Amino acid sequence: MSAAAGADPLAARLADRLAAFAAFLRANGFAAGPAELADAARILATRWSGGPAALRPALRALFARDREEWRRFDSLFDAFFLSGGKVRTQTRAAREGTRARPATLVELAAARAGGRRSGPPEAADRRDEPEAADGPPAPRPLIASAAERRSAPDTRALLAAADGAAVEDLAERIGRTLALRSARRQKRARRGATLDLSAIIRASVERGGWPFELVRRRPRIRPLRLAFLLDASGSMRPWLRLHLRFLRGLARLPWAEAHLFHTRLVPIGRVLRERDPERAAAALALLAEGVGGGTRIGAALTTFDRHHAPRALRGRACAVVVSDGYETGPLAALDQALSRLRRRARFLLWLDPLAGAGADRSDIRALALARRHADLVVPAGRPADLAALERLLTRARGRRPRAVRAGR
Amino acid sequence: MAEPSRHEPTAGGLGRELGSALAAVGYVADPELLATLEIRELLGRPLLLEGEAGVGKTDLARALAEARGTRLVRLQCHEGLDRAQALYEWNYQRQLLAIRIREGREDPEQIEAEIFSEAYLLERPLLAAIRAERPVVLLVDELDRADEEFEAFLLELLGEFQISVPELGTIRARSTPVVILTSNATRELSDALRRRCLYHWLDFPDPEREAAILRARLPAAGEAFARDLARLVARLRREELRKVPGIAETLDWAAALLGLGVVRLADSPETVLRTLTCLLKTREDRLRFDRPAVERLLAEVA
Repeated sequence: MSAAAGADPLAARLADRLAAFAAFLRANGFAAGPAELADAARILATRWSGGPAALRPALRALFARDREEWRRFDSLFDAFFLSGGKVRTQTRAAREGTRARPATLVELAAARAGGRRSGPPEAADRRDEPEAADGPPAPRPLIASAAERRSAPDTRALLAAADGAAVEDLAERIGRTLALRSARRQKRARRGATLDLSAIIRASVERGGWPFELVRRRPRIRPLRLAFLLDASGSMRPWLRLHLRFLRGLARLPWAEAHLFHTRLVPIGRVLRERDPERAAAALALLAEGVGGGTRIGAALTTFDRHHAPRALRGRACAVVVSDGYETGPLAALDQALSRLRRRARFLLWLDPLAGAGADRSDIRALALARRHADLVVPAGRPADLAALERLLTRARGRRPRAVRAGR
Repeated sequence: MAEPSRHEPTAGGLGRELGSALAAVGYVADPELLATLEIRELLGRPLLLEGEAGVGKTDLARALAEARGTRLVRLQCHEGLDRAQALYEWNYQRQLLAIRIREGREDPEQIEAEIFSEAYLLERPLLAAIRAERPVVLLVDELDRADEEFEAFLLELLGEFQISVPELGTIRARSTPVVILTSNATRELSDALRRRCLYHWLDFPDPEREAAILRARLPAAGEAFARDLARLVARLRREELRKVPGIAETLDWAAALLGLGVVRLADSPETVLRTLTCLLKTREDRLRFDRPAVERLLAEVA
């Protein structure tokens, strides 16, 4: 590129602009490294005559890594090249502040949604959330509501809780334990494990071709997939922090998947995997609009079943719904969704944060459905409950878990 | 295709050429895909294609090979795929025989050198692709089904176009293959792999393009027939189906309808209803469409 820069001033300016574009993409979560930049310069050299319309699909194929980036690329490209660099100045200004990246993301989304909210997420939040949401499970919001809440909670506080590290480690440990189940049955075949001919020959080379050592094939280890569906409605608010930390620990494992639902279903695995806590909080704030509002469990599970389950629950998989069962949608839909989920997953767990907390839960109709379809309904309101979950799933060793005793 | 003027310039000279070459072998590509293919030619990077099942990912590789007049080397990935199945394997039976035959007659080191020579090497797709004299199209199909270890190993091949065989040393590519990777996104592929590839998300074609595909594949299909059919399928895809029909299903269905002598869809709702099984592959989806529903759909698209 520097060679081109020396050749003529226009090329140099274009190269500068391209480098700025790469930086802009990086600020928005793309992995635009020097190799991509060099290739982009080559594309620019051959395709410049076509103008931006010719450049966009070419650069998109180069810079986008997955479907989500593929979708986002066009608006970023337009914002950078076609809107007179307006967004770029914002990015630069924002980067000087301490909370640079979250502001950029939030502002971009706000701009896309027609400037619904302009301030930082925290400010908007504190206003409609007068009392702190953490602490012991308070029986405050026990009425299910169909209303969609369009503001986001303070996601930074949710992810940054100091006591969360232990919960994260616990979750990761559970996921790993479950993953260590062998793919095939352990019962010995009558003739023993089959011989691995290629390994035998390889081993015999050093013995002049005599197969002294017999190598047998071993069962492979295949992880048990985990798909967590977390209810994030208003009534679940007291446990949201605990559960998010738990899911964040699980999300370290590539075979675990996490979704959040309230009136809609939102995949959050990618956000939870984000290492930079500032960026994770900002991204979660964008996704979590509606957290703390009403619940439509049935609709959310149906969406999951239709769009995500074929991928998330293939093979050996465990689906876990975390919800208190305050459903505002029709119960028939929930019934159907649960039975579909049950058929897809190897086993289905329902974690109820209020179970075991002394409250009478027998009149919650959604929970009655859960008890009918799920393999197990267990409490999950405290870290100790989640620890008990580890014991339960470990004992199950990849088979259907059974409640032997109230495991606490 | 809503704004043809905006899309038109994306296909450069090379892209247009490629487009007509692909059309000649029955693949109707949209300008965006042509743009991607064009920069693939320019940069020589592997191309990672993702999209729903049945949007023509695998078929693109086939068409590309045909259009370039080269061989298509295909590696179908599955769980448990290992180097022996993907890359090379020694011909153990022949090796054992060779050892027995030469027993006691020759110097063992010579035997060893001989049985680990290329004559005893069984080529599997990846090795075949890089040892070809002329560049071939290498299709690594449904990579998401392979294990993560295999993906890591594929990185060496994609980055350097060379393969290490412990007994023979490093085999460098005689020609650089056109590498197409496809994935149904059943598993998140690693970032390292994605970084080495160009990325393209293939969507279902819009009705105009699907009609063009129908006419390219089934010359017997009339213009109005193809148009109505493509619109009907596009309409069906908007329904919340459990299994969204792909292009192959559309082609099957069109062939079935043509075979039954249907010329205009609106004239024969009964046949349309009866042949709908070509398109809808689960019972639940099939039960959603009865005669009134089909007639309503036909009225909508005609």
